[in-house]
Amino acid sequence: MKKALRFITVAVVALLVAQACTRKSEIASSKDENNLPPQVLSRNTLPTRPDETIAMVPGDTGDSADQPGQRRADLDAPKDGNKVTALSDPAYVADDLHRLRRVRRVAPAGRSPGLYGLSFMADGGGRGQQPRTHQERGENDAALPIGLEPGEELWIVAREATATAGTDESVFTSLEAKRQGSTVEIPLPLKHTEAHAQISAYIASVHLTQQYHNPFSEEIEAIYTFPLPHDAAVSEFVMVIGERQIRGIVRERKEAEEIYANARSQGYVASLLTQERPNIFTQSVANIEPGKEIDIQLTYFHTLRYERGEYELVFPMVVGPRFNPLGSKDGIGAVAHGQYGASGQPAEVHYLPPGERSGHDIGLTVDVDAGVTIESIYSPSHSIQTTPKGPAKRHVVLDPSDTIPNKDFVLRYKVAGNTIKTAFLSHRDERGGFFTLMLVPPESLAQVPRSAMEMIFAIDCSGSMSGVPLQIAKDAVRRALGRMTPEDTFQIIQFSTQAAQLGPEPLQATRANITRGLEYLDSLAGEGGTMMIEGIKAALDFPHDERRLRVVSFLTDGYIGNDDEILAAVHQRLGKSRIFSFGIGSSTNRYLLEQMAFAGKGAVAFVGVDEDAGRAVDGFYESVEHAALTDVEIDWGSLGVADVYPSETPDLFVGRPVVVSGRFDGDRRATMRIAGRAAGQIQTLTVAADPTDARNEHEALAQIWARAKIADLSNRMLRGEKSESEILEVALAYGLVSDYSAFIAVDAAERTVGDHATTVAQGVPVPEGVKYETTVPE
Amino acid sequence: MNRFLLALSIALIVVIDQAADAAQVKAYDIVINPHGASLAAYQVELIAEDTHARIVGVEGGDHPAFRKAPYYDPEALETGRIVIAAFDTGADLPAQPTRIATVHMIEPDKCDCGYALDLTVAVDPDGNDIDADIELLPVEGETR
Repeated sequence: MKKALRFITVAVVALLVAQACTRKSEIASSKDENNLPPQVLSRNTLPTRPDETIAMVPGDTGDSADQPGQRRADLDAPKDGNKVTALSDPAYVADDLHRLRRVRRVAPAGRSPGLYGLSFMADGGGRGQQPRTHQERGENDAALPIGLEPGEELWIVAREATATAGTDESVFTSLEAKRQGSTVEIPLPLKHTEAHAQISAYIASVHLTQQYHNPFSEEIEAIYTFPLPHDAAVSEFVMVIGERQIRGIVRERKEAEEIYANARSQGYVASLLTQERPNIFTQSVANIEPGKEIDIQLTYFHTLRYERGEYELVFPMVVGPRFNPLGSKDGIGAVAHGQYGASGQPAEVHYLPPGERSGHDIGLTVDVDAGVTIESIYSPSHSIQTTPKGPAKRHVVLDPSDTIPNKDFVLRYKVAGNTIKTAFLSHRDERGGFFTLMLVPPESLAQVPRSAMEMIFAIDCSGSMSGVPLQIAKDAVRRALGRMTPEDTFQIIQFSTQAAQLGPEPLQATRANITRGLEYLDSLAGEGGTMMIEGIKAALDFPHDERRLRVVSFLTDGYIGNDDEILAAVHQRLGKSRIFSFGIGSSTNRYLLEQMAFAGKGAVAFVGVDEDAGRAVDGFYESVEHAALTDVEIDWGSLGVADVYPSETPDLFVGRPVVVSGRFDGDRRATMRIAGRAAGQIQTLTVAADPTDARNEHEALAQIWARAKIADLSNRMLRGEKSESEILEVALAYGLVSDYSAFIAVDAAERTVGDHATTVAQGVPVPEGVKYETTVPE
Repeated sequence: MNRFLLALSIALIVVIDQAADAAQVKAYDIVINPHGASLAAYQVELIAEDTHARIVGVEGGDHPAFRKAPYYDPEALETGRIVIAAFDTGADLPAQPTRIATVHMIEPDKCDCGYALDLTVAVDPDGNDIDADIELLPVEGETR
């Protein structure tokens, strides 16, 4: 019956729409009035929309309140001596204020008074006032000049006119603000994040608490898009309301989203965690009442990286601004805070402009139990306080002076001995046995002489690389060129909106050609978008020199929204190239870079903006220069192993172990034999594995295995295979978030008043070293 | 006339969509009476008679020993069973009737949903089975 009714209704609508098309101009006119595109505001193009008004931040605008047709609306009590005042049309003060959004800050701090003077033109009953520049309008209008003092900011606020990202709710940004030195603190829902990582062997268990609150006078829905390690198996989700703890449930993503929308519209407190990329997640919390707090607790597990003698834990804190190619519909949008839906992408990160920050800060503690003596521990990214808890244990606390979440937290530690041994960990429960194996390359690999190389440097010269990151990239290439021999050839490719290169074909690495290369490097500048596909094509689509090993080195921050398209292109075009990604920046897209290197049978290294790039570069290219252990095969002995991921064992490089996960049913000590080929020679090593030894036990291995399987299935999808249902099946069975599953939690015991909450996106800073002006579209 | 038909059609679509999507959000307390024995661990299984009912949250109980949100079995959920469990090794354990958990459900609109509840196991600190009773009590709607 419902289907029949729907059919008839849709048919009638279609008929009417066809008729309506004949009155196209009328509709277009109406649309123009009510759905104006986002405006780019500047001194000369101040807003003219009839439902706009302005506010001064901070300070009192004095006599302006007496202007006919206007009235002042104090939006908040004074804080720290500052007061935010809006000049507003009385027709939409009270009821409509919660639907206002900030359009753009147009007056940079420090400009001379009067430079941005405005006039308000009354229009009948006060509706349709149009602020214009004082200079432009002349003195004949009923002008209200508003001079800005140095340090003051002018805000334009307007009713929401465009669709929001992923929600049909209206949006706003508070006009409330407080000034701390030269920075204005914007009240936003996410107050604090507390993270605690427990490291045992090479596995990290991380407990994360996001503390949301509602500093506004209306009920809100908080939306926060945030990063996690791309191999994080997110397996616990608890919503905390006061003393009540409600554990979230993993469901198919579409179903979870529907449940969330339903609960939200009925006024229930609900929360939803979705995955946008393996390293980007969105947290939504519905119906937070004014003054109330709600915590979201997450637990995830992942394996540590090991590189050049050090274990490395990374806790990402902010998503870098992604560039999406024209026409992209499934990217990650980068928008100025409050510009809901401006990117046209299903997920958006809202960035705060320079001079603004949220009150959000981070507390972080790490407990390391290395199992063997720790020789050194440090963070190249943050200030930390370290307390020894025995030879093999350290307690690490993020220094209170370094709690702004604008870059990856990186912790490295070195254990006793020059090399680590291949390590086997296992876990057994009612589902069977699970293991991980950190495969360490044989030491003899370092003695194998290298082949002549064809070295392709593909440098990201987009706007996000402008400044320090590009300088690091140039330094890295300079250093690598210095290590080349005349038997090698090289090419330098730059890509941003388009790609260009040093010459039509690779050059012999002679002294003269290297000088030429260095001069080309010096000429590179960062601007434009990141059309990485152009860089991929330029680097991979030319004939291979059979006499040399082709190594393609991408030097980039990876700030793109079309990750899958790029990874699919790498799979398609790789040929005989190997890809060695070099991630540069304080908050690199590690997922993209790791996956490019994995697909390209290479390796990846990262260097932060505060780090000494030289050491990282030398270590990186040392790996590149030595032969890899290829065609790796593992004889698992009597362990009874199945379902090992990644399904193709990666090649092994000097000093760079890889981790594989699998299932087993053996119940006694076994000896595994690992064999591979390096420079034509067979290399082998044997490893003992004892699943009965309690010291090898780690309870997170089932989730880590499931996440590895999901990653493997996702990689197959990039090669055109259909794996959606299998990914969902694994995710639901092991209680993990994935592209196709999400966590949902609803408090069904209590209902808040009302059926509508205003959506507030959490604004975040651009990562340290990244320029807002060149990465966040205006 | 056309405008009227358009409005009517849109209204119909909205009504039909709302009917299709409507759902009721309800919570149920799970209470265990251990009859004087110390309750150290339990496992319960809940099956909704209406297959469209979905669990959307598991909340911890009143007693400090069971205040943390209990775990659920995701694999069981795939077969329509809600299996939740918790344990506490402390000395302060409930011996009287206590709410050990609340399940938060989303059910089809106007569903007078029934549930089959089974106490799979309840044990004392020594691991001995307890002869306990279990009860499922709907939480009366409360608006803050």
